[in-house]
Amino acid sequence: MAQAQMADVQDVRVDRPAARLSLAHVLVAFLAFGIAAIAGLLQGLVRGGVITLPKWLNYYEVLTAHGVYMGLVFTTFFIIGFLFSGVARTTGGSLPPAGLRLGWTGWWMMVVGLVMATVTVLTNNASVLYTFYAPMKASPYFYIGTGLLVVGSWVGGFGIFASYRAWKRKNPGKLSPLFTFMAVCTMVLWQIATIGVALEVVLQLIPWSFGWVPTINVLLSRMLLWYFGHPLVYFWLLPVYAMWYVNIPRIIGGKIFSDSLARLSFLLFIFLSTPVGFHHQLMDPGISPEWKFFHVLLTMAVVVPSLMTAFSMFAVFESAGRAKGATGLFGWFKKLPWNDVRFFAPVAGMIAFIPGGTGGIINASYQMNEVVHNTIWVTGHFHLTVGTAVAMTFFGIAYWLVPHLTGRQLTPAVNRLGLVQAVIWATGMLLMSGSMHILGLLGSPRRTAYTTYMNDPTALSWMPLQGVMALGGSLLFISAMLMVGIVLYLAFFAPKGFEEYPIGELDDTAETTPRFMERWSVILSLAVFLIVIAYAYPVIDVIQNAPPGSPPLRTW
Amino acid sequence: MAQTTAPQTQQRHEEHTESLRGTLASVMILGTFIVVCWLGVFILFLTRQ
Repeated sequence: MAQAQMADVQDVRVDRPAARLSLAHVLVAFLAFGIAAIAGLLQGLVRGGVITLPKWLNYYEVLTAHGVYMGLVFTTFFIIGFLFSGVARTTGGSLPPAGLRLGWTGWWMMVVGLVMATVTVLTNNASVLYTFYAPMKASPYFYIGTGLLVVGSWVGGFGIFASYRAWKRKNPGKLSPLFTFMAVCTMVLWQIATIGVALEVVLQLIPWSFGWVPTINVLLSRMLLWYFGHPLVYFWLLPVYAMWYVNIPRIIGGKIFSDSLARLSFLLFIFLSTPVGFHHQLMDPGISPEWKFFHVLLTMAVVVPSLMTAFSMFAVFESAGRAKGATGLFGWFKKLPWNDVRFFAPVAGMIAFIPGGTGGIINASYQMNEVVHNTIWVTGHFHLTVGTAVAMTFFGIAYWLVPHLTGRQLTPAVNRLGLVQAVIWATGMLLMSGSMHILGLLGSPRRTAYTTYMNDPTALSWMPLQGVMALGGSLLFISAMLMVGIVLYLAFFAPKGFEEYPIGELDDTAETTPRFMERWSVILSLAVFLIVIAYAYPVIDVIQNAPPGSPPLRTW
Repeated sequence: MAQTTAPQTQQRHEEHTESLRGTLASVMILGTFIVVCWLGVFILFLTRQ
């Protein structure tokens, strides 16, 4: 009986309107991913000294395209598409009309913003890299385009909130489904985080780039950017954690370890991921050491929910393995479904996240930041976090999400091909990111095209590893093209059928979740309180004691 | 007496299947890895002073 009920739950299908909305986001995401991968290949080959670009193509233009498309477009579209699908799946299979309406409005706004940003980047009028630091000035239409991308994502977030609210109204007093709760947390975090970049773009960059004001307060602009820049990382990461907490247990035939632990870790991310931006500005002048120390302290606190997640994952794996008869200390490891790409790709990402997260702790430690700041170590770091942990989990999701949405199936052959794709990606990243970490420790800078610094012996000693970087980048490109091809196959050509949308069940022995975990007024107040403490004084200080303003610069 | 023995055996069996010894070992290894990497870069910082 229980098994029959379980089968019923797992048979829930995302209905057609919700599936179309989710698929529209996911397909744009993988289109952007393919374009970004081409830019990434070019970049890697140039930096490795393998090729030189033609005169009409600027290295920094390629770098900007890679960063914007991979870091902002691929991630944002995929996340919103995935979250919409999961909300629909866990609240009965459909989205309410308000959710769908807002979802489509957000999608169109993001697409229009994407087109505007693309035109400015391709015409070499926005080669400002994806952090778009002032005083480098892009075309105003680049800022308007990226601004539309952000505002569109807000509207998408409102769609998720509307769906959550509709479920709550239908189910008064009940605890929301775990995935839906996580989707709401992710979008709450995103709305809070993007306030910083929205203020920077609207109040500073757009008026300045149009020439309405002659100069810009660079320090304030960097502060607002990094108010957004670090929680951006958690915006990438929370949907990944949602997949690890909710989908992975079902895929491996296990149970969710603890609903309360999962919810608590997400709430901690809402509290702690924003008031930490100064750890990206440890080497910046104009911010007093006390404030930097305070932000570093909170940064170390935000490590805790990630460690909780690591513990939870190990516990899920071990419990599932032992239930299948595993013995010994690590016998459960062998019981995991290593030949299932839906599991293998995300777990490869999890493994990469161990050195990735460790690198983050190193980056945020003041003295060690002096060692690695602005070196290519940092590039290696975020290629492990967003480029491996996040990207490989997104791949793992796509293998079942796309066929589920299109009424098709993940065939054994595509599963095998997927394993190959994931292995190539992991190998490429190991070579590329590993080289970047070592080169960074040796002092090689990031954000620079190929140069031997007039044949300086130190710079020349970096060259072999830069070659390894290029090799790794080439493998990543092959894997990316395979992935795009597989997504298209799964969306339009795979055999018709039903692909399960895996949603884990809670362990029978898990404790009841405390009700305060959905007291949004308390949660949001606490988040705002921490942000005000961490940012109010420094922001007022850089406005009142502003450094001399800078006119716009075009460095390319 | 026999009645109390049977549940104890069952409990021991449940404890065995629900053991999280491997999880404890895994998080310890993870923690050690973090500390070793952190110290490695810190030592690099000290040697470059």
